[in-house]
Amino acid sequence: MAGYILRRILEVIPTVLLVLTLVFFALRIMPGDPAVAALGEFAAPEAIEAFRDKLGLNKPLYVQYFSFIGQALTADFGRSMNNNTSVNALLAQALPHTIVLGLTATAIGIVVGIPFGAMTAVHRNGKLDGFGRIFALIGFSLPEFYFGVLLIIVFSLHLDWFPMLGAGKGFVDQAHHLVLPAITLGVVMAAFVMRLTRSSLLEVLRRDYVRTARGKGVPEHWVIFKHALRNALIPVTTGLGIYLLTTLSGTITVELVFSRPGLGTMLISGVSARDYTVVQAGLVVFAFFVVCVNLLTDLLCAAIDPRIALR
Amino acid sequence: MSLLEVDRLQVHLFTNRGLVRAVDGVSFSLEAGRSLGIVGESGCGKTMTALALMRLIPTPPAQIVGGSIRFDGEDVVAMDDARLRALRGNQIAMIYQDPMTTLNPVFTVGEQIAESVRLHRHDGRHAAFLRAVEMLKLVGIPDPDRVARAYPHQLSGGMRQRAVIAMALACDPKLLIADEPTTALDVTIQAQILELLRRLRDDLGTGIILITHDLGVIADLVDEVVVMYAGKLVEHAPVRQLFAAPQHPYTRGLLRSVPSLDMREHRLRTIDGTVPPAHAMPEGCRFNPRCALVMDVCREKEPPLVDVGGGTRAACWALA
Ligand SMILES: Nc1ncnc2c1ncn2[C@@H]1O[C@H](COP(=O)(O)OP(=O)(O)O)[C@@H](O)[C@H]1O
Ligand code: SF4
Ligand SMILES: [Mg+2]
Repeated sequence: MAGYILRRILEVIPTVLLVLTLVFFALRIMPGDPAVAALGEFAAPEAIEAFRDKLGLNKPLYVQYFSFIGQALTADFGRSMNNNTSVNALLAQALPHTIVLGLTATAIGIVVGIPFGAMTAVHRNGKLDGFGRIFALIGFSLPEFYFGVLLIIVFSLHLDWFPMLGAGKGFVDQAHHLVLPAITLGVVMAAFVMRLTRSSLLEVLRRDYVRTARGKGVPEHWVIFKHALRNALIPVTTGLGIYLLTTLSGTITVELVFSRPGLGTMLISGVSARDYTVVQAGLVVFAFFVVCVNLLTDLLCAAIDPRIALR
Repeated sequence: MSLLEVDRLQVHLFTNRGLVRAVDGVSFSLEAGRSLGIVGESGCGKTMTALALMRLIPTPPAQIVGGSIRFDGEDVVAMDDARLRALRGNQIAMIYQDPMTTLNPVFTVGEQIAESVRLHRHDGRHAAFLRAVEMLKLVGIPDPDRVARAYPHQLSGGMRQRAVIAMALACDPKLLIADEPTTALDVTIQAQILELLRRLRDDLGTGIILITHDLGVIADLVDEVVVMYAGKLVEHAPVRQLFAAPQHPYTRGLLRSVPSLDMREHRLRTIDGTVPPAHAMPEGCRFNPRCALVMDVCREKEPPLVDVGGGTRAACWALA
């Protein structure tokens, strides 16, 4: 197992370098000039030139590239091109909000999705399963921004149960602010996890080893939650990993809808200011998340299924 | 009182393509410590019969629609779930056909054996694991400590089947049902597993039901034989009698297709034709399209199971 973990971590390195390179060049191809964005359309050409010099934008591309890679690897992203604050400070402010949102939503997705999915599989075609089908249909078809706005209208505007915007101050207030955005992301994820768990478990329940467990006199709830579910969770884990990657964009949407500070908000304002350093840093962190989620998914699968690490 | 009494057992499958009478009125009984073979071609209902004895048939589509199963005098068909759980793996245990799919891939072999010990004997984790190692040793696994800690995919098919047998025997069952335990294994391993079953039968005094499509396998392993064809019991005889004087035309056909032990005689004959599909069961005797002795009555009425002497019961108009 230790060998497997090490191997998987080493395999990640080329991916990381590739992603960093893509991020760098994608930004240079993007139209617009950070100096113009910072100084305005009508600034004197000499001023713009001086500004570009100061930011290092007049250096050869490869020099900029290697200095960026160096920054990324040492996790020091320099200063914002727009207002000269330290990008690391911006990240330190934004990241916790995004991480808390992402983790809470994932927790909702798992805690609701897996047991619910398991129960719909066990009581296939029953009432609960029918309800699950409708729930999934809604979850799959509602875009996050629409669902978020809907929640705001009902629970903030009409019922006034939850605050509408921002992230709040202090633990209780922040938790209060977290509820609607986390539900927005979490419910959609729960719908996905539920359907995945259901189909995966139904497949596993047909396997011979489930009959073997019953034949040993194992009580039915153990047959399902110990023998079958553990096997069913292997595809669920992989699927959830992929889902989490695609849902990073959902996080950005939700941050915008709820005007929450966070990585998404930071990225979007960085893009509109052509603030290369901020956008680069944001994308690097996103890429880091992607790599982490991938790695975590693989390690979790290996922990569930002994065949993976021993291959 | 017999250990097991099966009376006119009927298992029907309610499938999308119609009703399948997988087991249709099968009766036999087994005394404690004795052994019974069930033979018949593939699709004749042997597995359904075996699974029904433990109420393990897949429901849906399968259902026990008639007859009774008495184990130690207790009605298995009417048993509640708790009683059934106490029976399974404890009093009746099963060895399945395909050792590659029978074991759970995410638990070690030792854990899987220990599980029934913990369930039925309420042993602690450690004691149960020791019992698992002991059982692996009993079934002839040379390195039981290591194998107990191994996952199924790390073992060969023969090893896995030994582990399955160890699992079945872990709680000293009174009845062991083995459903084609060697069919999925290659020939040398088959012989080893059969040898193991023979030894266990002699040493443990467990009642055994051995299912096979190969009559050659059971000659020196069981006391009596039940021959099934298309869901029906067609002949039931002591094993010597069956080999010496097979009565039913189907049994005779099966015996002719057993490869002779001295391989000089190579004429391996099988019965012409195949088991009819469930939706096209012939009227009367189900064997009539393949039978050389077929008469008019065979196409109209089902032959009753009658005593034909020598301890044999058979269902055939030519014998009635
Ligand atoms: N899950 C199932 N669905 C539909 N038909 C089945 C199923 N399992 C078995 N059968 C049918 O039931 C009959 C008996 O099957 P089985 O007991 O497995 O035969 P055997 O073990 O003698 O080969 C066969 O006709 C088979 O096609
Ligand atoms: S009843 Fe008739 S068809 Fe059936 S086995 Fe006997 S002789 Fe053959
Ligand atoms: Mg079978």
